[in-house]
Amino acid sequence: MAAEFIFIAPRFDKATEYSFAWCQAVEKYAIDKGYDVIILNKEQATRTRVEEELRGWPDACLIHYDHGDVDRIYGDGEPVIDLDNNVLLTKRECFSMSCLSAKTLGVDSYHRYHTTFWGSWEVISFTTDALDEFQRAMNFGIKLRLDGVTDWNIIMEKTLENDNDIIDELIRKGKIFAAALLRQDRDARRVWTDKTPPPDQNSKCFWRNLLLTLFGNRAWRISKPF
Amino acid sequence: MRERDKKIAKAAIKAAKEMLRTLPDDQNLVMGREVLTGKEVKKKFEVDDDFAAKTAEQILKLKLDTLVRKKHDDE
Repeated sequence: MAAEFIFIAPRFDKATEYSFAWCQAVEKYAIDKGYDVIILNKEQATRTRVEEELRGWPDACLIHYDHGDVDRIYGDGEPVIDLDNNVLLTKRECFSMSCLSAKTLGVDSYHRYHTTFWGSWEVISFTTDALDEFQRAMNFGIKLRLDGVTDWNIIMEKTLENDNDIIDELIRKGKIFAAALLRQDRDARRVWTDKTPPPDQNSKCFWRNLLLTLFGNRAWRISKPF
Repeated sequence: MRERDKKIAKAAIKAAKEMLRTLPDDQNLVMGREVLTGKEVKKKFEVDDDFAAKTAEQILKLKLDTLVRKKHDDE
C-alpha cells in the first residue's frame, strides 16, 4: 500500500470540535472512494508522527484541519509543520483549512520546496447556526481533489463558485452574519501554484536577496546560498 | 467628526447591528481560537471598537459583493 492522502485532524478545544467533524467527513469520503489513507486524528496528530508519515510517503497529499498561524500549522496542541521542517512538504500538495498559514508557511513552502499550498491569508471565521453550510464550503475543494481533479487552480475556481452559491443560500435563509463571514473566508483563501504564485517577497538573508535579484523567484529553490 | 461622517457611521452601525441579530444568542461565532456566543458577540460589538468597525465593514463588503456578482450575472 502507498498512502495517497495523509490526514491531520486534532481535537483539543471548542473550535477543533467543529473542524474535526468536517475532517472526518472528508476522511470517510476518501475511504469510500477507495484511497489508501493515513489518518492522524486527535492525540495521534503529533509532530513526531506527522514527520514520520511525511518521510514515509513523500508523494502523499497532506490534508490538515484547523489551527494554524502565519508560519505553522498545529496538530495535537503543538506545531506539526513549521519553517524548521517544511522541507517535508517538498513537491507535495498541501491542503490546510487553518487560519493564516498561506502567509509565511505557504509562501516559504512554495518558494523553497515547490509545494502546492492551499490555505488562508486571514483568520477563519464561522458561525454554528450554519455549520452544515460552512462544512460544505470548507470541504468542497478537497472533495474535488478526491474526485480526481488535479489542477488546483480549477479546484479554486469551482470552490469560489460553490462559495457564492452558499453565500446566496445563507442570505435567502436570513443567516446574514454567516454569509458575511463566508465571504470573508472566501476572499482570504489562497492556493500557491505555478499559475498563481505568491507575491514576490524579500528574504532576511542578504545572499538570498542577491540571488533573487539575479535569478528571480527560482533563487528560493537554492537550498543554502552560502 | 464631521456631520456627514457621523451620518454614514450611524447607518453602518445600524446595518451591522441588524446583521448581528441574525445570529441567535445560543449559537456561537468561531474566530480562529476564539469562540463567543451570539449574546457575547452583540455585547462585544458595543464595547470593542475594532470589532465593531470590522463587523460594519463585513456587512458593507457582503452587500457590495452581492451587487457586483448580480451585475456580472446580468451581463
